[in-house]
Amino acid sequence: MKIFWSFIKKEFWHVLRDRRSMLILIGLPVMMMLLFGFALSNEVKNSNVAILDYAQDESSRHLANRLESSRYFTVSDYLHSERDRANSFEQGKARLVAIFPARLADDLAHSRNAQVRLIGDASDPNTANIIINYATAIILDYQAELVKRQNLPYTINIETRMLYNPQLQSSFNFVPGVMTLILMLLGAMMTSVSIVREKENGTMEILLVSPMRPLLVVLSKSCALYGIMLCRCIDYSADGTYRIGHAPARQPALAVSRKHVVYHHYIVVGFAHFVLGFVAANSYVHLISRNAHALACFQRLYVSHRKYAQNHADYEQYRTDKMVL
Amino acid sequence: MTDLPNVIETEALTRRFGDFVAVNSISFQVKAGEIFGFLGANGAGKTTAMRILCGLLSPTSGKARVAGYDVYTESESIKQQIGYMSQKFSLYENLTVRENIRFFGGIYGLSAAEQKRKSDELITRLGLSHEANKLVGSLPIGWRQKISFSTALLHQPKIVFLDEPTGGVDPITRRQFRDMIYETAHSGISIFVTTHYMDEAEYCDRVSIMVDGAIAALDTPDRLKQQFVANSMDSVFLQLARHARRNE
Repeated sequence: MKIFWSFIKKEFWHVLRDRRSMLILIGLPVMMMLLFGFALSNEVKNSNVAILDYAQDESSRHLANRLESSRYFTVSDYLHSERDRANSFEQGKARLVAIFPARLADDLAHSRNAQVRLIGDASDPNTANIIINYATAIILDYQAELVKRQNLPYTINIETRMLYNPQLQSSFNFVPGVMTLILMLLGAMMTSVSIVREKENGTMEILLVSPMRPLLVVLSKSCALYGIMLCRCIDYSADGTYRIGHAPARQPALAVSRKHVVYHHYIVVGFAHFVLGFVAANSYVHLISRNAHALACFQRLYVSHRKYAQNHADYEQYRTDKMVL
Repeated sequence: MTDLPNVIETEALTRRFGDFVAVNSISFQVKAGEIFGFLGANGAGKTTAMRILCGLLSPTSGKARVAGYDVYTESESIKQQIGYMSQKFSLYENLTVRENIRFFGGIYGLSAAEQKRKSDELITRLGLSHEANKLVGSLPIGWRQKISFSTALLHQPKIVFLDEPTGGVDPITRRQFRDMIYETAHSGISIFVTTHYMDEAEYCDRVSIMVDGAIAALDTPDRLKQQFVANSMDSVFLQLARHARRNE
């Protein structure tokens, strides 16, 4: 106990007398608090919604206006056909497509029953869920108002679809994000470890008196480590792209993962000073998204039969979904 | 030797850390091909002076030129012109001999072809052709030191700084090392060496002894012995360092 206590005391002195560790202990929490608490949010605000309005009548315009005027949505696009819908998801222009069928107002007026279809981009399952719920609430609100105004039992049936990831499996979404985070953290950590080792060996002095600039030392260390990390991640992601690659469109999922990269960069790179990580991870994601198809094919060559069968089943599921739509 | 150019010139070189004067107005010259011993007790300011001359630290006042470049403004050019070897064997233990040599060639900007030629040449000269692809960690200390010294010379510097190069090394290896130093000095490269071994000070062309940040004595070993009426450098050093106020 005595030994333990004297050691604790020594550590206290170390920290209290070292200005840099004090700065980390006091300054860093403040910064993290600001970043995590305020800058980072998963609120759904001003999500882009595209509207495919076959009706072009009073009710459909009314619904569109309500979506637009709520603070959760911004109408980013008016579509003209089903093909546009796929495009707007794939190009990341909309998180939600609302489809108003022809004769919406007529149906409401005559049979007091109409249908509206909401299609969410489930490559980010949680957000898609939230968005669909908000949109549903807005439409039901309109229905309630109609009922109240006319005192007649109007019903608007809302049919929802989740595209790209109908089972809402979060791993599609998490894996790329976590991968980047690991890549960043390990890359930065290993770089610092290797600098410490350099110091321990006494080779750091040699590097310092050489014409090589210290920044270059750090940079070249990170390059090597990130390079190794990238190779390790490619197998993971190849699997991921393969699975996602079976969906009718693969870009949205990757668009999401790219967005994740950006998030993590704000947090992690802000702290660790590795701008390089940003470049590496981004170019990596670019590489993957550009070669998604090639990777998927490659992966298909050696993926086990069973896994393939399972993926195939998923694909059939997408196809039936698509046909229903 | 007097007509040879100066490789190091300092004039009233001073470095302060706050109130503490680590290096107090030192002036000396080192000529091309000279073995210059830089002696002093711990804390006398040797390391600080050496760091200034290597371009790692800028002086507070005074003048210094190394290989013709000014330490204030041209430290990057200085780094290209100097070699450095420290007490810890500045080699990577998990790299092979050849990889180490090529790496150091690389950071001094030698081209790939030059790196290859020089490493082959060096390996044959040191008689290490059988060990070239072995990890440095598996070699005996004496060999590592030779390789380390040779890599410091790879880019043909004008001057080599040796920071206590023989600390923790057996007498035979020290003897061999001394021969290497002589050989290098004969080829016109200046050697700037710090050491705690006074027998090593004996073979320097000139020796400076630092006490409390200033140079207390600077001359050839023979003349220093005469001046202090001593029969060895050891007693010269003791006479000077005994009065030091700073002692770590």
